Amino acid sequence: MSSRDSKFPRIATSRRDLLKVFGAGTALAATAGCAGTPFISRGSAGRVVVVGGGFGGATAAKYLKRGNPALEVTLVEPNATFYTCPFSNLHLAGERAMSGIAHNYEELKQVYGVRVIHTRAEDVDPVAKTVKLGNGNTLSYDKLVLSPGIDIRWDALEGYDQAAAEHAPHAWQAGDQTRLLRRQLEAMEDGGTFILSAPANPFRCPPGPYERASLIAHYLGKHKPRSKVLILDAKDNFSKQGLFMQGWRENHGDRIEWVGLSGDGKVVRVDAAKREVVTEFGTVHKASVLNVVPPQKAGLIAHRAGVTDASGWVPVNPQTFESQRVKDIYVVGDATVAAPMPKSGFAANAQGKVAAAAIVAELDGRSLPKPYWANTCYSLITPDYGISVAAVYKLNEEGQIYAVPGSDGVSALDAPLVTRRLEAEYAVGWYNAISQDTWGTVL
Amino acid sequence: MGTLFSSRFRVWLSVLLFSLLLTPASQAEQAWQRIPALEALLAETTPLRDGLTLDLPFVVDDGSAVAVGLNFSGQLQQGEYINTLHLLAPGNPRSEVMSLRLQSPQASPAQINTRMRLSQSQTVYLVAKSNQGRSWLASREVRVTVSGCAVADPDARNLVAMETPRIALPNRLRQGQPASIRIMINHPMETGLDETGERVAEANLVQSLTIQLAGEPLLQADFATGTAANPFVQFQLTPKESGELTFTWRDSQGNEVNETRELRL
Ligand SMILES: Cc1cc2nc3c(=O)[nH]c(=O)nc-3n(C[C@H](O)[C@H](O)[C@H](O)COP(=O)(O)OP(=O)(O)OC[C@H]3O[C@@H](n4cnc5c(N)ncnc54)[C@H](O)[C@@H]3O)c2cc1C
Repeated sequence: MSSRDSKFPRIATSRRDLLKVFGAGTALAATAGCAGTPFISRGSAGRVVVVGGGFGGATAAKYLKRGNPALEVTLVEPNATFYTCPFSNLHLAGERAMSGIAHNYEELKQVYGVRVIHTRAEDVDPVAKTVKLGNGNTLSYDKLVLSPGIDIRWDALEGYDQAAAEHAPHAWQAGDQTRLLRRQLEAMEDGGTFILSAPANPFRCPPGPYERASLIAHYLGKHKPRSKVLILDAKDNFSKQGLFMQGWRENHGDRIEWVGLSGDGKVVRVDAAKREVVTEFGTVHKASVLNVVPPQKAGLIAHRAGVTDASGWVPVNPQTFESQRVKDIYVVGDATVAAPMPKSGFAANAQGKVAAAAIVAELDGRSLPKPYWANTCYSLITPDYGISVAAVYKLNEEGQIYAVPGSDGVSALDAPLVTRRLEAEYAVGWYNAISQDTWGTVL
Repeated sequence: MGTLFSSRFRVWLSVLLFSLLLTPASQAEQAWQRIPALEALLAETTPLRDGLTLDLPFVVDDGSAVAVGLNFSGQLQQGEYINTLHLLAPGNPRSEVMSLRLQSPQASPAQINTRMRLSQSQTVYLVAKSNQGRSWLASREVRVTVSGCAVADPDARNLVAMETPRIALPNRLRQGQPASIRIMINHPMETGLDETGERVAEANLVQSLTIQLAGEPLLQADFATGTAANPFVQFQLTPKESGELTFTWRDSQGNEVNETRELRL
């Protein structure tokens, strides 16, 4: 099994050493290139249930086992295949197959001895410390990790409900919705208008809508050159705005039009069957393909567990990512309020490591080092033109997360094309590294 | 403890204590007396709390245009009505955000929306006053962060002078039924202040929006440095009869923009 050796990282022998390495939560590089043997369970040092096998949950499950192989870790995730939102915009542009964004749970099961159950978590009883599953069973836990990602707020945008999403997909959770939007783009007539409605903050992946508009413009430019892209936005400022706008001019001419809040860009009503939207001040826009990125909230199971606040998101203690409201429930990823950290896959992965380290330490009766995190969000304006925003985050005296001054920044405006091309390569490198770190996928 | 409480109860207790420990005690309740702008507004009165709400997100990613909801649904006495609302952000370089004068019972103090600026984390205050001299106070703590991936480059902003007034009326208006009206005008709302509140340039602000219905005053909004660029107001009108709605904006440069809409029931 020599291929397995390089594919899967080694299980370290000392938990203490691992905590040193992974407590910081961002040691991606440290996982590469070690040889190792599969782990065999030796009795339980505590039961941890992880709900959600996306960026945050799969990472937490893996690093719990790496931190203490004696823990009994169960991952609950309905799907056997996980499709990432990162790079799903490349699929929409016809530049990457769905298999290129697909991941599974074989490494977690075979190498790390995580028990993976493919069903939904229906309910949490924080008193009895149990999770009720969709398959009728109930799991007991000492510690619970929730990384359910987002749910759509179906009541927030008039006319946009589950049925409407079959006509005007959101594709903000990857999978069938991504395929549907791709089919619609393929069927779109040349000369049509692709409309994307972007929400107010906070939402999953702040640069995501603009990357999507860019890559779809790239596809249309190649295959349906008379077509347009219109972004209707509920905000006047968006992530990497100057870079995106420069990149649009350089690569897509005037194909992309962006209308912000102050230009009457906020969509208040959707007629999905007609593919029409109405803005705040009554302008009606008709689309050939309509992509509504709707307002969002933490995944439903977080509400069931009682960890959300009135905003619909989950306040956490940033030191550990334990819920501020319910003891022994840790929440990571998009579901949390971790601002200024963005709702990104990179952040979810880093938070999953912090929660895992905190749980391992606490079940072992040890205290924790102060965590810190890093995040980079790459965006592609074409498959060969990349831009990024990056920052390092720490805790201040009040225990709140802040971006370390001087550590944050975006790609330079007016950079030469070779820089943009390199950044597009780094984006692929980032995707490969995080996929390997989270699911063990070798792309 | 073990003999006194069932284990189920103990867990509840620990969940409860845990949440109490982590809930920051709200000092906002007492703190307003120490804020000069509020003290001046409330003078000798003791403000009531019930019925006035200020709707703001707990955490704000972009403080340049924060959606805020103002809502009064309190108990009023015979002949009493709310005639002014003042929105204040004492953590901003200047605390004034905006004042609204409701000049007719047809303009409701319920479900008003606008957009404000927040330069940092702080407690925001809303004061409501009635024609009988009673006042209400609401406050909300807000944390302002600049979200990593949400950072916009400042030079991407495109500032314009006062232009493009927009007004949205519902398609169907009925006598005695509250209907929502949205109003916005494009304007940079240049404060001329730096982060510390020091004047570095001349201010260029939309100072007021006045609305009349059939020649009678309905609502006046006085904007200030804390009003977000492109002043936006949404309020509920309960029309008595058809008539002409007129909208007038005035800015500090002496410019004026007028719009009219026919209101037909
Ligand atoms: C178009 C787009 C592009 C993006 N690009 C990037 C990028 O380039 N870089 C980046 O860092 N981030 C990117 N993101 C953001 C990234 O996808 C999210 O931040 C990330 O997925 C968050 O991880 P998570 O674990 O919180 O949620 P997810 O990854 O969504 O995982 C949640 C999982 O929980 C499961 N689940 C939910 N409820 C239950 C339940 N009740 N029981 C069991 N399982 C449940 C779901 O099935 C899902 O598998 C992008 C997002 C979009 C939409």
